[in-house]
Amino acid sequence: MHRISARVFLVFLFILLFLPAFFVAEAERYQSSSFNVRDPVLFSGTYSTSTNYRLNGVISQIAVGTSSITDFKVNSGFLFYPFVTTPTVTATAGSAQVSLSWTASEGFLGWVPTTYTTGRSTAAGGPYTLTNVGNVTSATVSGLTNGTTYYFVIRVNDAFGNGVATSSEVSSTPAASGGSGSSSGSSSGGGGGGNPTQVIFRGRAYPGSIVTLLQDGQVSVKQPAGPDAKFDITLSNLTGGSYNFGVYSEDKNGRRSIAQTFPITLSVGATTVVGGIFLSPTIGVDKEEVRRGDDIAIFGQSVADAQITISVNSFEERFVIAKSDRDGVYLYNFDTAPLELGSHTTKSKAASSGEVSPFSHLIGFKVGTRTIPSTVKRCPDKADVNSDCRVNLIDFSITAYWYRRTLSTGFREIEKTKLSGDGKVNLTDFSIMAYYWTG
Amino acid sequence: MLRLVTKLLVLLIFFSSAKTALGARFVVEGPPPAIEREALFELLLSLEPEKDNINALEGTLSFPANVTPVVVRDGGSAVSFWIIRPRVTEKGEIEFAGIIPGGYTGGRGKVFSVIFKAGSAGNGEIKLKNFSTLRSDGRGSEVRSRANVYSYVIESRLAVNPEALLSAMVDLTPPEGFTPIVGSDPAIFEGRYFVAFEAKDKGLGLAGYEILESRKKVRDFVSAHWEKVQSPYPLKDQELRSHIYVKAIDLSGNEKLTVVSPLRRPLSPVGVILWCIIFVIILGTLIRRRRVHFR
Repeated sequence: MHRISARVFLVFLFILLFLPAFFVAEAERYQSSSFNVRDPVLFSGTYSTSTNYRLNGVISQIAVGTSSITDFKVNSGFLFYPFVTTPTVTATAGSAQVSLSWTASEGFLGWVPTTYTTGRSTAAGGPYTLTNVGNVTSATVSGLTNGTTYYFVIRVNDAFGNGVATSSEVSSTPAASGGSGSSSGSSSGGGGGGNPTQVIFRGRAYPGSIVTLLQDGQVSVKQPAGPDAKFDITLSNLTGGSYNFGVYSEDKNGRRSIAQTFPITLSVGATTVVGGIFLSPTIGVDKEEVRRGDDIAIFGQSVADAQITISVNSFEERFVIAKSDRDGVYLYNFDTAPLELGSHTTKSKAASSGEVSPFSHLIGFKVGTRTIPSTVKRCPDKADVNSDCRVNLIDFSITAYWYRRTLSTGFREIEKTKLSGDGKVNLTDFSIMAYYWTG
Repeated sequence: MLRLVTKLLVLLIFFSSAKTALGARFVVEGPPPAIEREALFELLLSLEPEKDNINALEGTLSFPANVTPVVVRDGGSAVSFWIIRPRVTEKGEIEFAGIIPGGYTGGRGKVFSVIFKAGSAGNGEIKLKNFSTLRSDGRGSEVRSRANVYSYVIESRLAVNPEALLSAMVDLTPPEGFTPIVGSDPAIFEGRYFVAFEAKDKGLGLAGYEILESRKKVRDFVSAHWEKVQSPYPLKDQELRSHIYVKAIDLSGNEKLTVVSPLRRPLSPVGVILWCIIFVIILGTLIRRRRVHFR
């Protein structure tokens, strides 16, 4: 009896081991007469192994976004490729050294920026001498020759040390103490001379859009971006010290990007360059409420010919890809049939020339039984206490007046509609105000 | 039972370490803990956002009676606008609240510093309480934040040169340029016009503001009557025909002057005469017509 059982077991084991071989497709088989695989994502060979586990296969989904349950979520398929935002680099020249700092890269869908590598070269475009500096957002490159222009990039590494994003190049020219070093973005080389304490902001907004630079929360400069969406703003005659700069832009319909902020300590007599700023796209929807099954248009502006990834968040996150036209405008008609009834949010990000922008503002819409078109909003959704379409010192002063005081009937209504709506003025209201700040 | 306790301990350690890896951190830093009697020492309060983007913060710094705050310095602060500028309250604490438009994501950033004077010998702790930091997400979500405690020992030995710290800090740089804004809103000052302003100082910090309203351009600022004010300030000239001069003064006495031109044109003497002539002509015409009518 035992022998029979052993034989049955061996046969069963044989079938279990060899039968899948007839059905499992090989990894290299991408071609077929009935389908076409585009933009596959390749990882390095060691990506799926560690001392603790080895991944022999992957599971995938049969349709976009169907692999989620409450306990876990699988984001597979080419629309779900993980990405990280590209760091914006600040370079300040010193004597025989350059201080670099950069914005922390943000990872999505599984990629976690773990360390950073600085790249240094004396030629624009490299090759670069790479140094892994660990999980920090600043580093000083020393031992440089005064008067020589150096070019720097920051590479973002994942947990396995693979480079997953590289910043724009910035250049900087160290100078001896008493003189002044200079730094510049990728578009021009450095140069010595002059003693102003200044800061330069370079990056991309939207074609022809107005770029606003905030200096410690107050509007310092408003300047149009070029037809290629590039902007270059120089602030001179500053005092050495710590500043909190912010950059945002408005598209032609008055929609704003997220403000990117840069806490910078300016050195006296030195030029600091913040290069590779890539502002988030603007975003809007054509309906406040959409009947389930109808399309909702999601649109906005970024740089020309960018790949726009739109995320729609409901019970599970869904991704679609749009492409911006030569004016940077994008539009995607999203089919709401798979969405549940209720409130949803959407946001977008742009990828262009190897750089990835941060996500846009998050905007909401409802899926219901009727369709209500969106009204054109040129003013901030919240915090515009005096309804002048700006969120600035005036709104701050009015709100600060009511801080920890019993609200008047009039201001209670304002607090309800334009601030947190909890019937009192506290730090939460000011946080909302700081988020929607226009200066 | 022992296994259960061990598991619970492991879980406790895991969760407490996970907790500390998140959120923002206030750092209270001072000199080495042994301080001489009568000596001045600077305590620095900083914010370390770690991986969050912080746009609002508040808290109260409490300290024992054997140290006395001499001056609070907010120069070079990461905070852009103060809801409550750091100040010593009646309770003998230092309260503060402020915002950073767009948020702060950098490394350790100064909030403010305090110069304390050491009193009688003994131990003490300076700590932050009732503190919170909010995320820049449009909703004001609270970020898990923590703060360390600064402990010190005041020795019985008297300091040789107690004022050395103050004299060592020289600040010749005036506050940064700023732009006052005139506004009005039914929500405050009964709808009257007010002026709002906020200057930044990259040196030791701001001491305060002074204001001057004048329908004529002021040339002699020294003998002019300046008024110490806070923002927002309800304007005396509600017709908005005055020049508004606002002066930001730092802790070293350096000043930055800004002027807001009259929003409505002031009446010139010639204008006043012309308006009088027009008034007399209209009045005369009306009287003449009435006389003709009664005849």
